[in-house]
Amino acid sequence: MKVGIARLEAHLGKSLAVDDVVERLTMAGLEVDGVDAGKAVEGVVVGRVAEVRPHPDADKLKVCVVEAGDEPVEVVCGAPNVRVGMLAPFAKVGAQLGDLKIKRAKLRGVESHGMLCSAEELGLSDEAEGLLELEGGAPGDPLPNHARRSTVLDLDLTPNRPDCFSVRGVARELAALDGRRLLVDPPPERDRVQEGMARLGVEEGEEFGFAIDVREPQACPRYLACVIRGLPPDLRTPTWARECLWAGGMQLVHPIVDMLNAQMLEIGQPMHAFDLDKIKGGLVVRFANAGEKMTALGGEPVSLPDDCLVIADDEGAVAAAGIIGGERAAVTAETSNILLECAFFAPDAIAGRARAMRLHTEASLRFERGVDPQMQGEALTRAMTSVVESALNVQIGAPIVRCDEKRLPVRKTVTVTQAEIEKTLGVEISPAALSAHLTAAGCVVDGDGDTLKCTPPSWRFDLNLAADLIEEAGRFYGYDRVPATREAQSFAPGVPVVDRLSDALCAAGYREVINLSFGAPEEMAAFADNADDKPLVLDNPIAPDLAAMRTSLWPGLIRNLRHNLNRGRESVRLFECGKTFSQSGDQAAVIAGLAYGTAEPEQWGVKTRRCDFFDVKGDLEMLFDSPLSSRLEGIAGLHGGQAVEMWIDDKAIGCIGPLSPEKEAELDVPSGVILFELYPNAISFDERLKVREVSKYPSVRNDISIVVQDDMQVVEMLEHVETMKVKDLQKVQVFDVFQGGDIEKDKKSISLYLIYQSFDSTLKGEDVAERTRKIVQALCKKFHGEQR
Amino acid sequence: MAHNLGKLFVSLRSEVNDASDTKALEALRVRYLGKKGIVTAELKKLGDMPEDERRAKGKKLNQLRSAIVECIDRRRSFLYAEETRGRFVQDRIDVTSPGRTRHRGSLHPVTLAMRRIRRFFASEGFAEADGPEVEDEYHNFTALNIPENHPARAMHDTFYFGDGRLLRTHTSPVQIRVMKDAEPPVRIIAPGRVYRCDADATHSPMFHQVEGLYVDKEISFADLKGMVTRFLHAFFEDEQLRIRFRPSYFPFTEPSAEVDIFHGEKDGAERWLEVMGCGMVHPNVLKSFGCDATKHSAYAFGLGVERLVMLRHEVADLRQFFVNDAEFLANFEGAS
Repeated sequence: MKVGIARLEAHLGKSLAVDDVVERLTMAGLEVDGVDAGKAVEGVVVGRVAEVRPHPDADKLKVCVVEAGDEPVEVVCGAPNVRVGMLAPFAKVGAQLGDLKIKRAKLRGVESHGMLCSAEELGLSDEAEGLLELEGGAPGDPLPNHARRSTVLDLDLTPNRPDCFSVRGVARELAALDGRRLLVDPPPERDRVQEGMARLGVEEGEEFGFAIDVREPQACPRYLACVIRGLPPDLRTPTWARECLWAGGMQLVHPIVDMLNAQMLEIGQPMHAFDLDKIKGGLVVRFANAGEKMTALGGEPVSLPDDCLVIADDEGAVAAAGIIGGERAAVTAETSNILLECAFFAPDAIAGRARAMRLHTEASLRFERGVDPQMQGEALTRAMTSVVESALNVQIGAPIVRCDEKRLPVRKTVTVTQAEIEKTLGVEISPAALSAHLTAAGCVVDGDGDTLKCTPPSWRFDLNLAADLIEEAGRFYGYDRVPATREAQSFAPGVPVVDRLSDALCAAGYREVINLSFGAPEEMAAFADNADDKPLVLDNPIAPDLAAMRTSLWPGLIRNLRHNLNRGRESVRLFECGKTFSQSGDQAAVIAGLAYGTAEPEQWGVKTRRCDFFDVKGDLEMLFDSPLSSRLEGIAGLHGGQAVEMWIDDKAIGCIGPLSPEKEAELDVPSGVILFELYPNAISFDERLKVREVSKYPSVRNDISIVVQDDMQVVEMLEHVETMKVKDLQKVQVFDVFQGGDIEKDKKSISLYLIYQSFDSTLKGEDVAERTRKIVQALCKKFHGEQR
Repeated sequence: MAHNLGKLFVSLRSEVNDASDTKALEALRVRYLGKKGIVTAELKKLGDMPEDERRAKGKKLNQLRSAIVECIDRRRSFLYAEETRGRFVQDRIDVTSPGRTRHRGSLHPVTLAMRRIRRFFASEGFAEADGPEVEDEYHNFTALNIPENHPARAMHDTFYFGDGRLLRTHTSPVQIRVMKDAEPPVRIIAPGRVYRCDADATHSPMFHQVEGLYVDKEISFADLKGMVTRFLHAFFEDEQLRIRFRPSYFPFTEPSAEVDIFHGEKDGAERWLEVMGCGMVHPNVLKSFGCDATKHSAYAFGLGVERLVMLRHEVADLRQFFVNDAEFLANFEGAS
């Protein structure tokens, strides 16, 4: 919310230092998000237009004679509203308007000695609606206050402080922080209406016979209205209202609406004006009927949800209560008779509806958080007074009052003890000091010794629990004055699996990336096991290609690959840790990776080689201390002849494979992309591992080569050796696989080394050779092979 | 032959000094001192000699032998040194050529910051907890004292799935999930991804938060201030970093505070940057925990990880984090 310093000064009756106000409000929880010092304006004075004549060479320009203290000067002006006798801001030659310096200039052949200014040129408003008309002042005088821009603060208000949604509210808070109470309490509601009527000379009973039926007193405990007839067609938005709207950053709309909006910015009560002649019959306050529709101000059609409170006439809704008026009964330039509405709508009856209809307004913002339920009388009579002051000859009716007192919010007395405050805040605050602050903030405080009984004022919706008063105490005492203490420590946990795997992948040359958890639905389909597996889709995505929750981390990695290839990088190795999401609700942690390019960086003395399946497989095998077993497996999106699932014991822990050739074109990536996945939830590392004893005796190595059919899988051979349980055999490893040369076509030679070692004695060569011979025999028999 | 010993030594010495390499020297040694060497042969003859002659001759021969050994050793040392020097020249390489390299990996800056944060809180005795990212309204809002239609729901631009499920807007729902099965004292942090329906230069629809919760008997706002202050000092490695606690509003804490760190002065005005939110857990949320508000109190905090990374590493554009350009990521090589 925007608040002008000049408006705050008017409410507080004293001048303010901007920096000090910013600091105090921010540290009291009313965060100042921005300070707009406005346009620097110098050398602008009150000018009187003494003569206006047409420009000889331009239809839209006029040549004016302006008096501004010195000799009258000729000025060229394009404003439509310029007329003889008007007072307007005049920028003399040499004046500074922000970045603009006023110089003598020729406009279409006529010399202009200065510039008559609009509100926009002075930095008061965003709208240039012709020259700003000044009310009073002599030519050459400095600009009056209403034509000067004061510093505007932009407050980021939290939803618990609706009472600060007005200049009055912020001023009240500033005063309370000074230990001072702003204003005396407004008199009780009924007196206020009476008093206003007396002042305006309105007789009780002059309601102009307008019927108002509040059918939902729970949602609308108080509904005040007033009929005003005979608005003059030349009604103007008064200067005070302009000043408030400009400071509050609101646009001018219609003189009546402007007055109501300005008053809302000043005291916090949103009001609405209907064109009386467009209302058919009387008004009813009710919930929307099923399927009810309305065209809102601005022309947008809205469907009213059935929990939306509406103001309706005989033909249907003319306003969504507390949110927005309808176009049908809106005031326009032709309106001469109006009905002013000033109501208290219960926050519960308004909250969420604006969001549901996507119609956030200044009114809904205030009503859904809570408007002071005791200020409608004051607001209505104030508005009536404003209208009368602007249009002396209107006929004004007595306020129509519909009120169910019992249903208005009642502030309950809250009790808090000194001990509770101390326990929560960790600091001692004296009840007397707290009581003084709460009183200044408008509470009625009563208490004896350590216990404080506090009844909050009608405008504070946020003081309902002891915890609320404790917060108030902390806020007023100052968070900065609370000491910073230290509690005891306890334990230190181990290294999580994901961290350990990430470190190892990082050491193996992979870079970690983080991608968004959503992507395009088609992207997900590329790696779906089943074409029918639809991803979980967002209702309100930021963009259609960010609508599907990812079912695989690969699409993101492939996008990263493309980005990096486009930037001229030749080798890319990436991994990401994240969750994948299924329609049914599974949210599984996955580590996925991608390798593309050379096995090692291109360098002297090393033959450059493309990275392949076995490079990546080796990288993953290095992550684990237990042996991995691999099985050829069809994996969606991967090469059918080269993709494996990897297992430790009986748990699948991941998979690897090159991107399927048919996907390469589809995903716009070159050939040779190797992908992998690991499932951290299936992986565990025993950090309390037990050390394996080291033998004192030397080991013996035997090498064997066996020629077999080339479709035989190495793993079968290794597993077979394992099943033989050969004595002292500690390790079997493939060290060569050879095809071609003297090996027959369709065959390959597999070379294994066998390591024997005993824990009791030095092994004899001949004993070991005998065992190796048996292994060779068994393998040849089993796999129809021959020793080479 | 006795008279020849002196002569023998003289000729040997000149032969030794003429030996051009260690191989030739070794041949000399064999010729004189080897099994069939000249001196060895003389020594063997001693056994046939009478006692007194043997003693005299033996002494001389042994002296000769020692002299030869010493002479050869000296020459050998010299030749070794020569030869090594020769190898140095011969084997010289261009030591300025680069060493063999492998591809370098790196951890993502957000992960690095998360680890710093997790390490700090682990040392403060906080355990880690995890929760689902696809959440429900109860855990994300209702249980956290944000009833339906509460204006605070509008503070969170929420992604919905249309069936009651949503993407969590903060890590706070983990508090509720943890407390369902736990008894105080509880001290946890919950790091993870969160989502807001908002995207521009300073907002990403996905970012990372770390939630903290401490439930015990006598936890106060002063304790919270202590923890947060220590954390920020540790994270930014600056014990002098100025920190301020500013009253704010979160439905799930009361009192609530936003925490700002001092960010220098501009045009004479102090600049502060908001880095985290925190507060004393609201009695209604304690109720959701199943705790008795008269017996227990708790504090909670939540911090945005990207914000901290941007400050620590001077990253200007939030979107950099999710483009994953290798050159950007390479900045973080070697960090863990």
